[in-house]
Amino acid sequence: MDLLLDIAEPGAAPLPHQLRPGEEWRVVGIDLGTTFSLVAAIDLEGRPACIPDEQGQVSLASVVHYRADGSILVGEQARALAVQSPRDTISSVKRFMGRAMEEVPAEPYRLEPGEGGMVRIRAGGRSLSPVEISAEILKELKKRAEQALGGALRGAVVTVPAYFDDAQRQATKDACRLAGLEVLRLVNEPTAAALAYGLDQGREGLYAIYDLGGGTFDISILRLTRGVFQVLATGGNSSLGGDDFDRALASLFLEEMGIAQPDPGLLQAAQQAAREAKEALTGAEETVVVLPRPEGAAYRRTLTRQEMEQRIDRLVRATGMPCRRALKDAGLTPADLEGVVLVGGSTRVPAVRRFVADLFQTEPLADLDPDRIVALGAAHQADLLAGNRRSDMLLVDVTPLSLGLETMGGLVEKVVPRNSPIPTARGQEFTTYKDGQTAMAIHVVQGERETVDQCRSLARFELRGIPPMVAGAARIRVAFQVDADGLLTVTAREMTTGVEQSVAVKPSYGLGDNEIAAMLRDALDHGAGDLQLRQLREARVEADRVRHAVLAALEQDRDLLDDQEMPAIETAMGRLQQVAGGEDHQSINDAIAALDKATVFFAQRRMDRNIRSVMTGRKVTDFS
Amino acid sequence: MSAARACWSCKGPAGDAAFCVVCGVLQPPDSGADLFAVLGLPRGFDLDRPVLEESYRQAQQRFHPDRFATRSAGERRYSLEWITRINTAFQTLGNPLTRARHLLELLGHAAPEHRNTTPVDPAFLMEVMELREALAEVDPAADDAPRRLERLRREVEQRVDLETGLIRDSLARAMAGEGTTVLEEAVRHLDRLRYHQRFLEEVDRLEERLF
Repeated sequence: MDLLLDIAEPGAAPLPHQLRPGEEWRVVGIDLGTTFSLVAAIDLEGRPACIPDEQGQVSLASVVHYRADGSILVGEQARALAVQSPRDTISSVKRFMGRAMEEVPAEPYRLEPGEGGMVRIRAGGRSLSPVEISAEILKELKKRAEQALGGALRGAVVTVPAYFDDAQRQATKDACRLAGLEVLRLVNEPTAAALAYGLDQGREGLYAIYDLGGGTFDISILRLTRGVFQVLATGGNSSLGGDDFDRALASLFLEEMGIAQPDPGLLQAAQQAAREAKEALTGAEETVVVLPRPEGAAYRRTLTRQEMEQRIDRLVRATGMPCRRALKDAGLTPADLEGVVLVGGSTRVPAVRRFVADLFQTEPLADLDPDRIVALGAAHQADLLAGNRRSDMLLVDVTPLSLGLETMGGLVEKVVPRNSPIPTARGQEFTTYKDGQTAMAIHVVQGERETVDQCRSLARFELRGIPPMVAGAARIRVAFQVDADGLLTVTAREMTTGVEQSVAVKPSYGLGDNEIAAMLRDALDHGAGDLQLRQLREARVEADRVRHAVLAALEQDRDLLDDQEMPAIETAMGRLQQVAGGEDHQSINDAIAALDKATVFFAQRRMDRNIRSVMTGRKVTDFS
Repeated sequence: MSAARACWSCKGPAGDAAFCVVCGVLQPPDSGADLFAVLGLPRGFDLDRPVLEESYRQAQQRFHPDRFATRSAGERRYSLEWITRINTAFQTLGNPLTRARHLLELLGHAAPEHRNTTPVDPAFLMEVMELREALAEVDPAADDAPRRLERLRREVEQRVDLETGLIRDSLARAMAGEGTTVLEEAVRHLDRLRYHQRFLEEVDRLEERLF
């Protein structure tokens, strides 16, 4: 009865877990970028602002240097050592997050395989995981924020590229944990940018966010309606960014210097020169590039903007396909959009702006600093999640890539299609293939292709303890749950007995690197071949299952057939076996149908005999 | 939901609303509720997109986990359950095919999940095969590919509209209590609609290759 005495007015219960007014949480938004990172918080006027370091710099270079004595440098100090000791100075570590060794470019680092197939990097005489290296950057930002806000942080909203897969998101979250940061939410970078942008101007309508950062590209299409920021579609390439522009230019310089195998120091120097040239060419029509040679006179050349644009043209164009696809997924044309917002430092490149204007047939919007907008949006979201203020503002995001399961013949059954709003839960029922089968392997994959070996493998586990039943009688429900951070949990459950297995998908060793992008590109290149292959594999699997089922049925209930009936079934079986080895899915399907027809009456009689309710009303094709 | 249900938090009579009438705390969603009820929409095949979107937006505003980030673990868990149902409802009801299938389920007619459940009319099969042949003949590398794909898309979209209209009619009659033959009819048109939608998905896949 004590509980009832506490009852207050509806909706105004002073529950112990709620905070008293004025007792605000110290929370921040963090943009953990490929080339630099930022931390932002809400200032006294209630507006988000980036927090500067002691020198007044808001951006922290995402570079970590490991000294042999065990000390660690982060930021500009570390970057200054990149040319001098390139192997012990790790930049663009974001590209290594949640990735296996053969998925990432090695130069100039010393890579080694780690647990679960994840890549590790040797620096300063230590073996480091990308998660640890990222955590150093996060610690630096945390320290900066705690000094500015005058106390320990309660939590942070941390941004990730919308196109990050499960392994990359999980790795980012692990890095935060390692840095002693509580993650209030992982938010997609373009969504955070849209939030800052929409709130700043009080805008409504449909917008595209074109986010080209140092190492990642994202496109998101959003609808802004009275406080709800609903992502309609997203796409991108998690290994395409301004770094690639630098690399393309650096390789031009090295080519001209006649150096095919640069040492790590020279490679670093060439890339830094490329970055400086690229930045200079944002405003100027030409710039001078100087690079010291290992011996002899320095390399010196004038680079025009046009020359640079030629060199990076292919990379800029590569952002087009995800944009067109996202528009199509959202069911929109460029004319439906109110505007296109530019995010990320690489959108400063004039060629990128021209390309975007051309693609969306509108002049892109860049009235907020493209370097800071993501961090500002994240700070907003952190403030809201902390309950520091009341607002109607709400972010609704989607899954960037389809999630599915491996089925017979190495095919993928999609369970959660890409662009599903999150959090989401979807289930699919499967059944056993053989009589008396007691275990079932569950293989979870992410990607758009139709065959398993061309999607990213996320997890494998086995559901054991299925009670022995006739093939097809067990009902195994595999449920996918994607939380608000975009992280996946998979549960498998045998429905008649309740046997259950569940797995939170951890980064597991998967495919080749540039894969999300490559995977998608391949899906498009091989669509038609895929389809035929798929049809053939499906037909073969089906043929196998049907033959299995009929054989098992004959073994059990042969006495139900008389001497005239048996040959007809045998003929149909023989025909199916004959065509199943062929390449034509249609004739396999025809033979299946013929066998099906020849066994209808047999199935009927078996059913009458067998009172197993699970089989009632099914044909022989459904037995298996 | 029964009106006599007790609130999990204050143990008072919660009523049948989503939030306890006594303490205002979020209650677990009713797992038996149909997807129309989840979004507060009337049960029926006719559903305007803007109406669906507005109910979805309102439901998001009320139940999204972000609204409960600082509340108790129980409320956070229930908001997750709510939003998952809400997202499922939005996606299921947003597509005429899945919306019709859900309605059939509610009418007590388990919708066919697999092919081969109803006999396919040979004339329809011929039509489908002809369309597939036409699609197979499109060479993505050829200049006329976009035009040919577009023409096929339009043709199939017209059929989608036709079948959708027929499903609408038979479902309306079934809901008016016209019995099971009307439901069989709905299932037949649903089968055809699924064929057409699969076809359009393949057109999509081919079109993406042209990007």
